[in-house]
Amino acid sequence: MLRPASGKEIEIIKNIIYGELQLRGVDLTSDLLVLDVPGGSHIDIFKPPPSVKRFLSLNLSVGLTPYSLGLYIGFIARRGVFVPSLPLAHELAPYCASGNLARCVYLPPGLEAKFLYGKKIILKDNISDGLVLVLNTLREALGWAVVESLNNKYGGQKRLLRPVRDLGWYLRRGG
Amino acid sequence: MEHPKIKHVLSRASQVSEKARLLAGKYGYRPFMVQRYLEILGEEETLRLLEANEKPLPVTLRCNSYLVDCRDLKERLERKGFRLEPLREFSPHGFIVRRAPHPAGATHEYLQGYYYLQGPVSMSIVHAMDLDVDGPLLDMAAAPGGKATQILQLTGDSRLLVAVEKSKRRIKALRSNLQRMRFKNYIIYRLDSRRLPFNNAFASVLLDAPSTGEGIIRKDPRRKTSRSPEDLLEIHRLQVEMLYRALDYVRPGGSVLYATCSLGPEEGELVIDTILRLREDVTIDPISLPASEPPTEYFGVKLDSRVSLCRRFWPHRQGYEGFFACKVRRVER
Repeated sequence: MLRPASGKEIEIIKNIIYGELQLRGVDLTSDLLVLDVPGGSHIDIFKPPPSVKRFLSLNLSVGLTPYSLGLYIGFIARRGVFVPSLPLAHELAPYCASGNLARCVYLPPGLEAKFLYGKKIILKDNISDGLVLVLNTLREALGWAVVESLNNKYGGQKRLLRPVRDLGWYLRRGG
Repeated sequence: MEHPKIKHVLSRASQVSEKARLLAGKYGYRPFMVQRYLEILGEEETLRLLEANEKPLPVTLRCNSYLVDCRDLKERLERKGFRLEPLREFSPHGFIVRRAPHPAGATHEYLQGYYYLQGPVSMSIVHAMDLDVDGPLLDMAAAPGGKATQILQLTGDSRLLVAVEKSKRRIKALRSNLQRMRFKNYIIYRLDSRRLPFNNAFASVLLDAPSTGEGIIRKDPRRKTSRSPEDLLEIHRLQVEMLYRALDYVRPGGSVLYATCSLGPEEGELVIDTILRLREDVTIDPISLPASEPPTEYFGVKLDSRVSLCRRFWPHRQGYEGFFACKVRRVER
């Protein structure tokens, strides 16, 4: 079933995009649609462009549920956790350079390759724990990751970049 | 729905000559397939076709000009050890990969959506479609998304594309490719596209119909033996039904680009001839593709002369995949 996102679902997404990621000055949460498969493990969130909205509204009566559409924002797991998508990573990448998105981490070529294999990376950046958009030095999105602080055996701390979803997933999922 | 002479044609193809049997044995085909090639091409050209089909297809890619300047992509890949040559005859965005230090489907540029691995003929087909039209577009058998992503590329993601796919497995690749190449102006539906409830809804339709895949033997040699005459009949019926429905979905005045990656007239010329017999509201438009004129007579069956406006790609003539393409216009009354 395709339906508009509920207030609660929009709040969950806003908490991540505007709260945790600190995106400013960009509207990403209006007109969101939810694809809700009964019994499914999650719900998919989409932002339709105007022509998609128009086609759907003209054909409401036909009773067909789309499989996918527009900009795929991510999914909300049944336990209420929002996981951002790779298309959203591409959509937001320009906002790292413009300063609208605060939580961005840039990886040099060697670490880029490691990240795209879904491997964890030790970070030199001094960025606080939480979700980040990962880019390469050409400012191209590579995916999403979580920064975690780990205490090392010498009493210091190191920061670990743990991939949430990286572009290599397109190959690993096989098509 | 089927061509009134299809059973006659398949029966004639099954009466295999000694020559066809010998060639089929030598090259590993089902004899009825070679009998058909002999009927269309004659002995000398059939040999050239069979020889051409022995050579694997080169790796070719279509640059996603919606995201990247194609000269920049070429330079970027060449810095990594690839060597690319333009394939301008087939598409302004096409390249043949002459050297690859690793698989072309595993580069960072591929993951960024900067190109799609696609055969030269396959990437030429969408250029024959009416895209400069006002209204939504339909791709009726859209997975894995080569032509769907190309439609959105050529329209700059400015026209709505409704992409339909029946297969649960293949639709995932369609979604993945549309997302990887960063298009947004689409809706994917999963169902048999003959059952769509959208009559007169689309300005232009692409039907790259399910086929025997006889045109891509160079990519998958199993197709030399995987289909029987009975399979061919079933596929022909499906293709006629799908094209008939495609003409219901397109608005009067609009066109359906019908294509199949097959060498068999049963899947091309005979499908078009059937539609011209069944529907009075259609005509054939000439198309500008670098291909051959198709046969208009097959095993003694004379086809509508308008079939000659369609185009056929042969592996031994044009050098790549075998394909059939035809633009069918639904006329306004």
